Amino acid sequence: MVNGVRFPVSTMLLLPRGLRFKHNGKRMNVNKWNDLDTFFKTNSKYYKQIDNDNVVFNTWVSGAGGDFFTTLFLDSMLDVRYLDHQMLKYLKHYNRWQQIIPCMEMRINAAIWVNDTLENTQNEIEYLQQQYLLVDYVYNLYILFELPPNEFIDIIDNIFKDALTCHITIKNTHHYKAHNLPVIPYFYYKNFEKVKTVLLGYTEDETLRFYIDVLKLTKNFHWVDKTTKQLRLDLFPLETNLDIIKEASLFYNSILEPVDNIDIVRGVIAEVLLKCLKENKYDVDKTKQNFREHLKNYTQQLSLIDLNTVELADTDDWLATTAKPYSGMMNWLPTNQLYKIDYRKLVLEQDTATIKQMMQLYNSNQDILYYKTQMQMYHERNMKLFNQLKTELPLAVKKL
Amino acid sequence: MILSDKQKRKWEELDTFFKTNSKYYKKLDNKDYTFMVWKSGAGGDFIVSLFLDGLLLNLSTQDHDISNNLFYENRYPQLLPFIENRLENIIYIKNQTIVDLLRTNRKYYNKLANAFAIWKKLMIPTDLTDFDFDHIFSTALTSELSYTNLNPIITHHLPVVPYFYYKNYNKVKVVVIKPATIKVQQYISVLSAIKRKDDGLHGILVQDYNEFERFSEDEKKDIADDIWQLFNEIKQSSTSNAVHGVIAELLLQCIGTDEFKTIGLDRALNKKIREYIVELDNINLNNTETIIPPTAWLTTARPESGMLNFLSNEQLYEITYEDLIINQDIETIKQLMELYNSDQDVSYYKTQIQLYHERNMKLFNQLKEDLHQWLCLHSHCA
Repeated sequence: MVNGVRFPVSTMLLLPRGLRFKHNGKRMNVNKWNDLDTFFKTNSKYYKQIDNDNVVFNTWVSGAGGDFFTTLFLDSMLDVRYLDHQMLKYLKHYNRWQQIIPCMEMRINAAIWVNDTLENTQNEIEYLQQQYLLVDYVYNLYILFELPPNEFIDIIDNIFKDALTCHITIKNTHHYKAHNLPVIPYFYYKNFEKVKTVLLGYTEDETLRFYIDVLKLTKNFHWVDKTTKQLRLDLFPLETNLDIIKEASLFYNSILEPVDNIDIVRGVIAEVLLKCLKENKYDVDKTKQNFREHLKNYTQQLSLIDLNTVELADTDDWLATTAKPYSGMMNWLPTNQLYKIDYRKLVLEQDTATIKQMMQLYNSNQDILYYKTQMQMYHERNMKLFNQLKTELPLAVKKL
Repeated sequence: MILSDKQKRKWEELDTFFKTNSKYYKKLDNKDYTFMVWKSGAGGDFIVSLFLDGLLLNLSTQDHDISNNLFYENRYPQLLPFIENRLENIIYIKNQTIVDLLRTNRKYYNKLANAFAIWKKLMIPTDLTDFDFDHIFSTALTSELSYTNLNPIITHHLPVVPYFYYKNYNKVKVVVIKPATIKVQQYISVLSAIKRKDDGLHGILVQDYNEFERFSEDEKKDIADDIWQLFNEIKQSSTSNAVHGVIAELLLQCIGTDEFKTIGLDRALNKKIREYIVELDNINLNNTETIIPPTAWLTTARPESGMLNFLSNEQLYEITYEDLIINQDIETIKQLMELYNSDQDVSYYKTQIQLYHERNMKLFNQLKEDLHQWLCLHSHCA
């Protein structure tokens, strides 16, 4: 037992020294497990009650290509909806793949919204605001481990129970896609030893992390609400004045107006603008004054990326006590439960041993050459996208 | 129920073909597959998502297009392996590599046309050269996805072809949702057009539209451009999602005769809309006139063909749209609950289906209103 959390004896030995001893940041990590354990033990009626069979959490940071890897190695390419116009656009323009396996964050979200959607309540503003608040509490607990107000605990408990109980299996295993580590599921599953966590596209390299982040921005184009034509509300802090969002959106749309290839640059421009707004405390006039400089800096940073340079990334204290894939919150798991699949080896180098490990993990049916070729082509498509952005972004800066 | 002589002959013809030409004839060691079969518009996606408890949680409600489909078109995404989709994927993804996302390669198109001729129409193509049908079907019919103890598969056609591939067809269950009356059939077609939105116009030049057959490639291109131009103009002037799909479909129908060349596409469309409104106004869901499928359909895999009528009650579940969706019949709901091992109580499913039907009716009535309004504006009658 470490500060009240029951780890299996074998895993105690695997806990990094910092977790067991006094290093400040890592110590917090253990304390966080302890706090969570107390919270769920006290408040959840499903604490260690979900009688799970074999479960795999396929976890990756957005942009790292986990959708493609799981679809490829689970031999599920046939179930991709290429016919759907939107899917076709994802694939053709962004090398972005459809989610074939249940997505944990999506299930949590759907557990909040779906039943109500069925009952036609989507137009009730007051109800919507309450639901958005619930979404915040749920995700803050799931990702950041922030405890919700007492009156929300029961409802959140049921949401997690529903989201974590999925009847779908592929090749006799329950698979989830997730952008966060299964820390909260640990407190719900009775047989956590049957849970595997595969960190797909994992990297300790700062350069690759930036590259993956760029891919994420390029592949995500849901920045603007199609109905209001404004930047999505959830991109701003909850208390942001609607007039500010409107003005910022007008500015965003005016930046994109003269751009030739909007699809490629809109994500980066949105990201830089939002950062710039935050820095300027959501003062749109000030943001307008220094946005160009920000975008120019980002463009320069982008042009300097050399994928052959390896630079070790830091994990700060804040990140270390979240469920985010790079936090290390589950590093205490044994090697037959936690698999870190290196992005460089899998995608850039198409390393045979890594591909074999993936094939074994996913019980894949094709021969190794097939997967190797697919990985190579996937990487080439990403590089094409990345280079296109490097060409387009300076042109966008010039037009500002 | 017994099969007609024509149907028996069709089965014999197919059996001889697969026995002679397929190396997988009765060899695929199938699981307990449950095929959900429905005609486009008849809500099979909703039903299967509802009765397989928890499957609805996999809806990408955060995805703008999917949530739009749910909110405005009451349309559910496909969450389970879909045979027609899989057939297309096998052909277009050579060795699972995307070879032709825009479907412009004629060679692949011909393969698909052949595969669909077998799957949908149960017609054996005369030329089997360069058509690896055996690989196509054996791959499409094997799914690794299971849900509790079921292996659900969805399709718009009866699983006749799987009969010749599966070793244990006795393990296969088939659920068919189909209309019993003519007016409900029309109503379902309207829902289908609304919910498909402009899907039919995407890839207009590479789709197999009979309306286009008599034109040269250049003419087709010009016509497609005109259709898109007019459609986009209409889309910009109309905010109603309900009308877009119907207008897309009627635009395609306009090409069926040469009249559009003389009076212009927009006038031809106006005329079509007028006729369509009359049809819509005549749809009365209480009308009991039953469907008598055309003879040509009886030897196809269409849901209403009856080609699987020899199966026992434990394998074939024929459910009418009227019983399930319109009347929310308790016995029918219970039957589906049993089939899908559903966990909630019967009133939950009854309520959800009732709400689903109400949303569809709202959409249908809205379409009628919007089309009247649209016609009024475009005929300058206001």
